[in-house]
Amino acid sequence: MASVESKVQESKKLYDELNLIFINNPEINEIGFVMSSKDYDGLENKPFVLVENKLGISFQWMIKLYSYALTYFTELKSAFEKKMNDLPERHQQLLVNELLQATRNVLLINAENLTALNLRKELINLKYIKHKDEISLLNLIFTKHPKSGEGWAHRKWVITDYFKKTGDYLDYEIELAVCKRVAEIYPKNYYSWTHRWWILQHLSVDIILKDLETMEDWVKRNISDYCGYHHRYLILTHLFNKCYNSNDDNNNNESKSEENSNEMKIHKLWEDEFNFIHKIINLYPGHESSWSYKRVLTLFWLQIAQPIVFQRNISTTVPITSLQQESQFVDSILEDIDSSYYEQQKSFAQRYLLSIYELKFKDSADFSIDIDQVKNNYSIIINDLKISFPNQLKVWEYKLNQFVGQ
Amino acid sequence: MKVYSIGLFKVVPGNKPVLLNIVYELSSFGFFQRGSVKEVSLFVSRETVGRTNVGERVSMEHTQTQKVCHTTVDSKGLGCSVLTDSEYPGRVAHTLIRICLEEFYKVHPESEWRGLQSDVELQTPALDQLLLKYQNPETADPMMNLQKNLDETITIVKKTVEQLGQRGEKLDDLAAKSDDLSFQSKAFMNNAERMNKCCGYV
Repeated sequence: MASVESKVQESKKLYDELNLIFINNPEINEIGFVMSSKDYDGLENKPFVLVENKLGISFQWMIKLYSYALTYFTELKSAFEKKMNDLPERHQQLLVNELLQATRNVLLINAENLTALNLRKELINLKYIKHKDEISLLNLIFTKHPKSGEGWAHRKWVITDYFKKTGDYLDYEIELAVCKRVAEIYPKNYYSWTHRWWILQHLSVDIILKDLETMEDWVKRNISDYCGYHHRYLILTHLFNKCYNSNDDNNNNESKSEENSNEMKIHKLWEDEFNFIHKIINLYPGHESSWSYKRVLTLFWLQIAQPIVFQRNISTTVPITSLQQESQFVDSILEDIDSSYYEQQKSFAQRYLLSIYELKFKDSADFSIDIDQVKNNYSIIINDLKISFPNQLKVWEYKLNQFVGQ
Repeated sequence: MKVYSIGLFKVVPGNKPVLLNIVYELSSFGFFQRGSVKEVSLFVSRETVGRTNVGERVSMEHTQTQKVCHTTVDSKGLGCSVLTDSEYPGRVAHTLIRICLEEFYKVHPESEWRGLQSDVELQTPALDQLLLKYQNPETADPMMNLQKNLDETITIVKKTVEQLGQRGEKLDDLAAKSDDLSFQSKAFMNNAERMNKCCGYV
């Protein structure tokens, strides 16, 4: 029995040591797990290393630490649920303090522990934790667990709760900064991109436009990561819908000129975006993400935006794109045989044009296009793809039958 | 689109390349990963540059960590390696190598490193600036035809790890033997492959 007790004692020592580290170093801004503390301060077998406000927890001791923290947390939780209201105020605060430490220690190692997160929600409701402090703790947790779904959901809850109670939002710049950092240390982090957009939606158009600018640089540096493109797409379609839907609500003459200038701005924004993606495609050939982005842009514009824009002011707007323009663009890519990764670039370009043809064909009200000509072009591309990708023969034949058979 | 490291080596065929200088840009990694990333970068750079023939330009894709190692070795036996992610344009990386070699010769003439037998650190201040500048290939190389094969005298050999290795050796086996890598880094390298794939079935 003595050995069991001494093991518990050992684990408790670890737990207390961790708490002490946080008390003495409130500025800790990053956590990580390390194999051995040797690389950092020369001593092996140390449970914790602290370098420049960055805390490393050794794998070797983690199981002991976590299982103790979890057991202790469960004890505290049942005490909290059963006896909290009977305790004198001073003891209540003591219990809460212990709980704060226990939940933090559990979450640092396993950010998915929903019980701990929910207990913290309760403590926020009881005003034992400030919303701002909870966000700071989450920032710290995300440095090690950037893809914790529960953590992100908790963060959203904290922000929503703060809004409900005060009618105001927490500092959005902190949110955008954490999303950016987290997307860096763990690429293709969908949680962070979803969160970023969720935050932006509540903000003014100026801030959204600023984010669009920030994203331009990000996309240029991560041209094969679709997350950035999608974020831009969300912003652009959001602004488009906002502009054109709000016009429906108050259609009086006073704001007509303002509306017009807004529409021109949106139009310019979309036009710039088409130029931007053309530049990216030419500069960095052979990346599927940029072609996919071009496709959704063109589809949105031809399918949804253009009919609305034409309906609104026929005389002033020049079409941003058309079937002819798109087909010319693809031709220019196909002619550029000096481009590196030409084979990939060519196949992306051809697939892209097919999808645009398919769209325009469905929209048979557009009589300006010569259907036979389009069908002919379509078959030529399909035949070319059949040669390039003989293993996908069935797909191409199916597509051809679907299209020409109509 | 990232450049992780620039390394310079003295390369003598048949021997282990001697490290002359290496600089890193690892801000996109967590603090406690950086040590391992450094070791893996040095290991991949050294192995690749040691298998590059004089005058050859190699871009080797290292599938395990999804990085590309661009190397070249000049006639005096000075080798340079640039480690980037897989979307970085190869041509720009090789331009960077050419500039790095020039900058190195400006401060360290051949006589200074000819006789060296073990790793050293020959300070080359220009490298740090180049490393930052080339993070964005578009600003670093304003000639818009980044990827064009206009200059056919420069051919870049694309190799995989298997092609580069001699006598059927595998990078995994080399990694196991290497003293550039600590135990932690070996584990990191094996995990990196798993971590980089967010869709396992693709």
